[in-house]
Amino acid sequence: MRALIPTLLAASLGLACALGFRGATEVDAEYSLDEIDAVRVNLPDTPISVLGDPEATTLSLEGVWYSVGGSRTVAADNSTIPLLNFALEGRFAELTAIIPTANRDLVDLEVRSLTLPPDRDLEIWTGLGDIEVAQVEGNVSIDVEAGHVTVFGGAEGVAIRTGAGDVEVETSGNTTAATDSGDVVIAQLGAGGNDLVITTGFGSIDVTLRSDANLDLDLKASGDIRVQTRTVSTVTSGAFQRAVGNGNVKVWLSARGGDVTVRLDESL
Amino acid sequence: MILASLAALLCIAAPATAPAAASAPAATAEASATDGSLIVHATSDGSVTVRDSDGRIAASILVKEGQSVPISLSPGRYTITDDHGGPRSIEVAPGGRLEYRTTPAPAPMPAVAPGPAPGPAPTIAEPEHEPPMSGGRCGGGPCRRWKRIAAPLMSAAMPGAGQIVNNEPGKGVGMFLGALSLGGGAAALYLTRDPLASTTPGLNGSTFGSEAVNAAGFGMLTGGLGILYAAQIMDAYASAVGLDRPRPHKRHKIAVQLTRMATVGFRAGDPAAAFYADWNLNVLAQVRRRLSVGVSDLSVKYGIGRTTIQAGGRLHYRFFDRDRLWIGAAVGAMLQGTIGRVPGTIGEAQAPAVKANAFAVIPYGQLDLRLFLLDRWSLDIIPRISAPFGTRFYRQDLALPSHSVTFELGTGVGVYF
Repeated sequence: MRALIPTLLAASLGLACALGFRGATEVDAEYSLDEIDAVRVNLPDTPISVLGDPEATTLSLEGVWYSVGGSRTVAADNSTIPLLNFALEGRFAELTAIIPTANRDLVDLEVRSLTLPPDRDLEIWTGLGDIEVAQVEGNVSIDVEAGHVTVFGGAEGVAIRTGAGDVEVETSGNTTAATDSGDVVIAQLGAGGNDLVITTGFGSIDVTLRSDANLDLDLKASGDIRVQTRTVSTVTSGAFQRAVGNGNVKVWLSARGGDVTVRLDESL
Repeated sequence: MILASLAALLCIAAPATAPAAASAPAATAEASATDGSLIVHATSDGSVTVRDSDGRIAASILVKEGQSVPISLSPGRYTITDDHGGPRSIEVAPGGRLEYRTTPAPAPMPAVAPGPAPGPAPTIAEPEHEPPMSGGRCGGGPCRRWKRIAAPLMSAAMPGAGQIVNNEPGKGVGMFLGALSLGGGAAALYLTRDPLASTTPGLNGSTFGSEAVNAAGFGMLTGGLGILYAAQIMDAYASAVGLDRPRPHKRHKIAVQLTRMATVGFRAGDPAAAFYADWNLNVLAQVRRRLSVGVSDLSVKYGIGRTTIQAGGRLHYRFFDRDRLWIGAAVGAMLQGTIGRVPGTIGEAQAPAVKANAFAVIPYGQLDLRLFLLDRWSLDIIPRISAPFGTRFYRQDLALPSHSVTFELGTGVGVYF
């Protein structure tokens, strides 16, 4: 008996697992964007890579539905059950996934690529997943629970929120970005003079401006604050406020757990 | 067998008339209207001592073989010892009458003879277990009534504190460090999980190994912590009452168990593995000796956009019960009903219709190891095998698919009435 109990316990500890199989089904979808100005991509947890293609006239998606099942058949069946739904309302469209409740936690979408015409406004909502958007010149808005976000473009404005992850933006538009944990790197393109409102809970902010005229600087950091432009040059900590010219260009940066650095593009 | 014999011997007495009292060589308490009485029947020469619940001597008498000596006692709990046996606990009801037969030398068991009683029937407290006499040693110090409440409460508030109350500092520090280690380890594993580790495209479940190890470690540490936490509370009480060897309540009518069934499961996405825990409540009635049946696996689980209600039935047989260890086996089935919500869509066009609700049946078989630290409280370890028919839902966004053979390890506590 003394040997039986430890044996049973050891066996049960080693056997605490669930057995099953994985399945996968490729997804290749295309949706017309005629008379559509803005598209929302509202998908379950997935990394998403979006490319603005000047040749494109449709929204194209390539990806895979992954699934699990207690048998090969169940796993394969589960991967075919989810549907993508493209709904329209006026000049706005939304791409969503429709999954029966019984299958919702047994499938996972991974979007390999998404292309659309570059002049459309784009909105992305998802849970876990890195987001990368390139060459989309309309307004870009991204809301993700956790994931790194990279945007190259967004000339009409960029808005980003991520629960955890770094943010990198190169844009000629106004930018609002917030991350609970992660570094933020912003580089202005074009003539500059765009508003920047950036917040990170734990991380640093690095901003490269194209113009230092008419700045309204409001900088907060738990670490160092470094500003190096032709009109403002300082190294301090805590908080720094300064208005330059008529002060109508907001540069409001807050890094509660890191440094803030503002510099002028040296190529100018 | 011993317990059954003891229960037969210590049966309730109801004598129509008290036997003739012999002279009492030692002091007896003065009777009042609410007092009960204890008739001591001497089967051999010797002394009999009655102590109250605080360990103070309420009566001490010398008896000769064949004598019957009445003692008047205020209502309450007492402990009786004689030269050849004890201690035995009794509970005196107002106006009640108990009879006590001294332990015949060298017989191991004292007895209370049945007989008629004109007043309310007195009872023998907890026939399956007699705590040591108050006034003796409980834990590392003298027995004190307040410790019976304070020690387990202190242990519940801070692991090990109850043992320190019981003057067992070494054990208390050990309990505290053990709980700290298990809790710290579990917290470290939880906090070191990086949500960004599973956001990268192209992982395709390649992180399964490390995530499974992390989940298994988390499950074992938290399971161990739960068991240790419950054990040290029970131990604090056991020490406070001076209980060295519990006598499990085999003839219980109802058993209530709070259990966490746990396993490491796989997921379709990333992270590719996760820790699946199912907290549930079980209420089983012992319908025949060793055989119990009842409702099981009661719980409610909230997921993202869904609510799952779970209940089931279980048949349990205890095939081993010796000392403080019980081993049994059970079969049962859980039923899960899930009410879900399918997100709406914009525009006037109807979204494709899909099922918002789900139903599953999960049959299982399990072993059941119960270790008693107190007469009515057990620590449970339960290996189980199951296979769902339909999706089995857990909390948050966790679910196991239909036909997925699942090995689980349950940990929990049980209480027996």
